[in-house]
Amino acid sequence: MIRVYLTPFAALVLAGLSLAQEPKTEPASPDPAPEKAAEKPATPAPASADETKWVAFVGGEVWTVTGPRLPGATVLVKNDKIVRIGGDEMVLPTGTKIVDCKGKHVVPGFIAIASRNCLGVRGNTVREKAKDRVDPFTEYMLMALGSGITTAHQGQGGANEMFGGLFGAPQGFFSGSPRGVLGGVIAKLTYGTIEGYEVRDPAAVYMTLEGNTGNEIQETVDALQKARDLVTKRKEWIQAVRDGNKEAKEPKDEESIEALARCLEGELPLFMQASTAKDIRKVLALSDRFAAAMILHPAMEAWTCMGEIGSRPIGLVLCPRGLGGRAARPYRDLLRDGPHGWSIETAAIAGRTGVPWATTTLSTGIVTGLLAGRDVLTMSIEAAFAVRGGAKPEDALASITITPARMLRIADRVGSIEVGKDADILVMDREPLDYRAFVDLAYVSGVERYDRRVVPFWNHIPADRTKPPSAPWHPYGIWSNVRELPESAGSER
Amino acid sequence: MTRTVTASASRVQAIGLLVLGLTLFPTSILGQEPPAEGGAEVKVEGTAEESGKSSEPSKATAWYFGRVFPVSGPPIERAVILEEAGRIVAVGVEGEVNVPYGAREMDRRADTVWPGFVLAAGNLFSGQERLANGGNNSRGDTSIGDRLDIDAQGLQALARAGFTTFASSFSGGGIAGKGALLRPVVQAKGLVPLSDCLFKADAFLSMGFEAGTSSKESWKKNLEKARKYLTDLAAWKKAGDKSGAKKTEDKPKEPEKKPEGEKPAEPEKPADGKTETKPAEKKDEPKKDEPKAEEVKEPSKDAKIMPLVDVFERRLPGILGIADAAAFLHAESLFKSEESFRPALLELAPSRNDGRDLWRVAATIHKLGLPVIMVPDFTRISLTQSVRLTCRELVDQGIAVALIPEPGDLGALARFRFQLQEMRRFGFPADEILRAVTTTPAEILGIADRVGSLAVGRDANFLIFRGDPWSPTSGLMEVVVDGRSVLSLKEPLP
Repeated sequence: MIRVYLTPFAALVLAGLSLAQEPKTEPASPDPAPEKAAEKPATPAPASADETKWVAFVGGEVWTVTGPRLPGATVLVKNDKIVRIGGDEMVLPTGTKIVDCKGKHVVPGFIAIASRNCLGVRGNTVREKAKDRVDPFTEYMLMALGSGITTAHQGQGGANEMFGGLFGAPQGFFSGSPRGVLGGVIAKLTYGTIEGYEVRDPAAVYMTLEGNTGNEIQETVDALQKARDLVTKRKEWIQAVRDGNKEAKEPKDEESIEALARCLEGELPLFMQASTAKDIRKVLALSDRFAAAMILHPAMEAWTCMGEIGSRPIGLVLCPRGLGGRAARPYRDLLRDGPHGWSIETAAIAGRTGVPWATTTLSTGIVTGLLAGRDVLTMSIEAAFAVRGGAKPEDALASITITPARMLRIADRVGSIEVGKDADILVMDREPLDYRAFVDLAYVSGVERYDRRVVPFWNHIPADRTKPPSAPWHPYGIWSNVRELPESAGSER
Repeated sequence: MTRTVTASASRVQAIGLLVLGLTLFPTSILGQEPPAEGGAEVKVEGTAEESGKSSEPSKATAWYFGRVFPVSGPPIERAVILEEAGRIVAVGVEGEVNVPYGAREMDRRADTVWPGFVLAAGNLFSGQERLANGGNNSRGDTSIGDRLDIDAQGLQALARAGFTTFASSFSGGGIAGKGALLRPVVQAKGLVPLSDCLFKADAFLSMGFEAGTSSKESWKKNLEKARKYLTDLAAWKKAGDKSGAKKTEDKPKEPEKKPEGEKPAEPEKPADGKTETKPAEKKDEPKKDEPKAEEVKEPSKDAKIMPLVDVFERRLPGILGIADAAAFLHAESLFKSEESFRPALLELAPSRNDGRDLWRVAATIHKLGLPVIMVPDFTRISLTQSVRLTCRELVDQGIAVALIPEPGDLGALARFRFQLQEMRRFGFPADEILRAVTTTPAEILGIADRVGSLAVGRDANFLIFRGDPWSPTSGLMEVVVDGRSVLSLKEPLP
């Protein structure tokens, strides 16, 4: 195969990279002479052997998400970044670790837009950074990696852990306050190390409008007004400094307002909790008034007013199968006239209307017991349910990769397989939204963090289900390091 | 002073034991040949002194054992341990060791002997429920000795578990305070005054680290303060050197008060002296040098930080409590930022059978050369459903491991020796286990020249077992501390 698969963007970035950064290491064009090609990278290799690590994912079907699907392509990773995407004619530097992906699917790591325990941090503690107290050895993290999640957002609070979502009133995925709370963390699932863990901390501002009336809504309005004023003042201040006014003071406000101002400027995401059409319309009004981009969750009745949402800078976080309880049925209130409640078609309608939507799960934690099948480990299956409801498959895949990345304002690093992005790559044995698909390998920032063959979660399940188990299963524990009695010492024996 | 008291008491005790021995093994005692008189055949180093005083009856005690495991060397069959004034003066095969004239003889030829165990971390008398590593203390100026409630039963419980030297540690994160080393006493009931059972006060520094932003920051500050003190001190000394050679000569002579338990061989002397005698002398010196050394002042001493300086300088053993492998990863930045900060790690797992996972970071611990103090127990990893024996894996990696019973749990103390036997069943080499309760903790606490092994010059601390010590059906008969029995049992205690 001689065709080179390069998206225009990727080609551009690649050209830039190869010219600016690595003119020697990276032959920009496929080199015809194999000997010469072998020599070329060999020369710089010893010098930077300790630092530079090359990994190539060869021969798999590459799902770039932002571009086309590339069968039989090669993805070359240098340290933690993707540096090239091409065909099998690509010349690899010496010492490249080759990951054979033939017959497999190479997919960008999934992004959990709402998660609870897969980041190894319990609860939110004021002034304590997640990166300083993460437990990178938590097995929840390993399980999430095995389910394809490489980046996760753990939001402020949230109440739908187990029973809240099933039996109680529909809850948001995060809990906020009327005037906004700065919190949460976005991090990578760097199992086994704390380096490269943090992506952003605090991550976002969380507001709630659900069921709010009167004073509470006024609080929201006030906060947004203050933030908007701050943005204006900052602009004036920057202009004043540019004009040479040395006495101009930087405008300041309390932390939450400053954070909200950053949301209005598009630096931070603003999560807004609203569920009913009534509340959603209030949110839309706020969005209009303050020109605020927002991410709406759980957006239960969004499908009834999707046209209105579509004309504003608003995205949705939704659970395609619904949030259980009363909301599990399409019409949750018998006495109400007109469409309301939850619909499995929400995602499809959003897609048709051009509203970005990200998939999350009923439980954002990892609950292998009671909620099996509805926790964060089944994110890809949840996205597949959106397809069942009429959404496009590519939108569904985007809803667990690039869409949440854009919502979280981290799309410059993660969410797709593109040159220049972090090497968060999954090798899957089937198409990513197939209900039978397993993640065989998970790479986070260019380092292998999960290997299905090694980790005893699902290593016994063969790719071909008609075959017997591919590895022994140890449901009652692995006593791996019990060994023979050694020579007696200090003993009469 | 205490030494003489000990000696006389040990004599009384020894006679009592002799009587006991006679009643238990009359035939063996009666069949015993009279001890050879001292002099010509002295082979063992320690008996040299005795040979000179052969005219007077020796005050030494000769213990005859079936088998002795000195830990510091290979096991000795039909061994004699010669003890005088609480110290071992000779160890060797019966017949090769010269037993001086008049020495009391204790016939335990049926028994096996191990050195007394050393407990590297514990909280039995401090009133704390458990040892913890949370919080950001800065209490380097506090000593645990002030706040101990020592009851004889607790001491007896420790002796029953086999411990003849035990640490009383501070609980908490940051610089928690200076811990003390205790030893069992003969007294069986009531409260015991600290002076009776104190082996070494301010023997080590208890510290704790908890993963967290504020914890990291406060630790970073503490380390920086200690480092700054040392840098300033060096600058000040340098200035002193320049100002006059005389003064520099004086300095090494300063240390006159040397703590009893310090190792004599190591180059700790000048440093030792400084920490103790500085206040008076330092004030004088700069005054003399005033015109020259004005710019460089003597760094002021923060009593809360000084113990940490001592840990840097290896004058004081430091023990850092951490929870698990994740906490170690977070603490790694401290070890990177400060090269002299190499304390022993005390593993304080958050839960009993879950989270003892230091094996994950064993390679790094080994690279840093940190010893580990931990509970000999299994770890269950819940989701992968696997079980691991962390302490053995650390030893396999070449890490020095000291084993302790679960701190603050008398039950754990009672089953500690059984736990050790369990470890052996699961592949922990027996000699490594024995080291992990004797020499390794002694080295961690900097007292290996006195306890932890049965060699000449060490304290006569040993455990006498009837039968195989590794067998759960045989057991402990007697615990000897400083040559006198602190625990004597009629039935073997498994």
